[in-house]
Amino acid sequence: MSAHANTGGAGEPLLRVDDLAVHFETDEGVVKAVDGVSFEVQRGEVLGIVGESGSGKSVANQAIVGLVPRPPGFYPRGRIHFDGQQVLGLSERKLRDIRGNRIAMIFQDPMTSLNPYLKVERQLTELLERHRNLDRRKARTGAIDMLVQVGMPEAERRVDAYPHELSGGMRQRVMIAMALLCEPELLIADEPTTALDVTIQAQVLDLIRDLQARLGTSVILITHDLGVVAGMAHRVAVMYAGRIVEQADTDTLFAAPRHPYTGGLLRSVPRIDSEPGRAIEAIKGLPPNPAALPAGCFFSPRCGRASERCGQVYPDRDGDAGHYVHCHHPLSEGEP
Amino acid sequence: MTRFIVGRVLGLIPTLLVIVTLSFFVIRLAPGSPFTTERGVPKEVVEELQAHYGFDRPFQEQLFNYLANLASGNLGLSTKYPQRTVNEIIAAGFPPTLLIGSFALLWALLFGVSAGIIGAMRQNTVFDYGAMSLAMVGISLPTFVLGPLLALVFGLTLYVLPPAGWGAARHVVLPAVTLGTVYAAYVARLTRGGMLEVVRADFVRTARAKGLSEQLIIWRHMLRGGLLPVVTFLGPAIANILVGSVVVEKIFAVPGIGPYFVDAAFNRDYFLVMGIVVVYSAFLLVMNLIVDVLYGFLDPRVRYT
Repeated sequence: MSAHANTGGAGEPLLRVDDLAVHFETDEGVVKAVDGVSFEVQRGEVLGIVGESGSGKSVANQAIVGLVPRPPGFYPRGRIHFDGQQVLGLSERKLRDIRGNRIAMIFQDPMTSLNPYLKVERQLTELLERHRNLDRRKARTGAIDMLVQVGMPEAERRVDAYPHELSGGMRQRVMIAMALLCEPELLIADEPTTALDVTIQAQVLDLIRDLQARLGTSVILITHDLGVVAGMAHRVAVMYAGRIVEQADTDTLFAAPRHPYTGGLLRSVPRIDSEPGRAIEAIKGLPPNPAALPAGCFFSPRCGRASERCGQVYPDRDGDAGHYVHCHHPLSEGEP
Repeated sequence: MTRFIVGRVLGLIPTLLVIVTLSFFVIRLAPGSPFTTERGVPKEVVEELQAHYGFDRPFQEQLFNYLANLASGNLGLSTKYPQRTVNEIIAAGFPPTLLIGSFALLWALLFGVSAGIIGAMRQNTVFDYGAMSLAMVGISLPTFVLGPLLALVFGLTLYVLPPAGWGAARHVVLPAVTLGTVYAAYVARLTRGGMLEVVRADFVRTARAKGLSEQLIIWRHMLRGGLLPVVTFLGPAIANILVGSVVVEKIFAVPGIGPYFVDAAFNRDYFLVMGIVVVYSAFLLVMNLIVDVLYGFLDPRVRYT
């Protein structure tokens, strides 16, 4: 399964993020892109992180592998334990040994995330050269094998192609091959299907699900699309304005959301069984400016259930690790 | 690719033909003649000279003869230096010019690309501002100021390099630096701009996510895209650098082709002017072709049709 030793004890999660904060120094002041986020990923688990653009979901995950540019970014507090080792604040050299090797990432747009000046082969082999000390010939064989595994047609030939010679779906397959080449323990997939055609989206999701099950890789699936999460994630964390507002296992979250924001997100997903002509419900307003967050609950200005208290005090965590929410007036079961 | 190159090389011939014909007209339209001097030369002598060089023939015939000679590689006779052919003058003057030019180019690329990379990777730091201020000085300083300044400092004060002259390797340094500095400055600014275009590109983030070292990321993932603007600039610039500068050659007493070109124009030394124009144009065209090919080599998305 995995080439790496498991140094953590039984029950110890592969990844534990504790009270992580990632802030950015900007001309308009400090932007709290991520402010007090905690979550865990167990071995073999798929965690979905859902949120609108700017909710901090990508930044939080880039922090795990130290990809947040510093400056302007900085970490005022937080701990990130990967396989029992604190990785936040680890030297760049040690982080480089983890990146691409034990934690791999898939990015949103395979059009721009692959280097247009290099052949597919080079972009794959350099990983095996770096982390497995393979020579170029062996690395090429490994690259072709991986392309076959991700279902690249004519992998032998395509390995010598440049990215612009491949279709969008094939490019994302290359990205996935790249991510899984070193058999990472954790795969962070940041909006892996957003830039793809709808027909290709399903293929790519199937592929990730299939490989995840086969290799036992833990996955963090970052998306704004609840539909993507529904079929794949074991658990879902909903982020809003740099914080997790609700976390639950996937079935519970879909069946009985407690945060009004989660409820709003679920209602804004177009449904095949809804009456034709009925408008899709949208959440009113816009996400807050991260440089000027509202007082109290960040969602309160957009929330239909908000009371005076919501505009004053940020709600404490309510519920257990299995299903918790930050809300003064959570939805009860069966409420829309 | 091969077809593209062959096609472009064949395309050079008509371009060169147009340049030669136009220059031929222009230089002949200029008032005066090679034999106009303050000393009165007897009419018969002038006529004899005209006949010797073929200037008494109809204009079309002269052009045709010139082109025919050119096709066989014969650039004609100099009127100013009757004992030497244009081929000989160019063969003697071009090597020093090319040598200075090559080292100027090397200096421009070494300094320019390094400074540009440092500027981009350390954007808005002391290093960036330092490198770019230096580049600004390089662009603003004319060679007729920089040249004597360098000669004064390194030649006449520190005594580390000869202030002028020709014949040894160390004679190359000051003229090459003088000639190359302005190009180094442009290359630095273009490299910085090009690198800044890619420094935040998604594929560079991908490269970081792979755990590659910073040097490898710069070298393999950024430099190709980052250097594209430099390559575009280098086409005309290389030709300019390699054929040198009259000013630099005068300042450092380099026996290059530059001063001949100016003198030839003043003396209406028709064939010498034409010869230098032909060689210079051919050079420029070939350099542009090389840059186009190089561009496709750097960026695989460029199609050759």
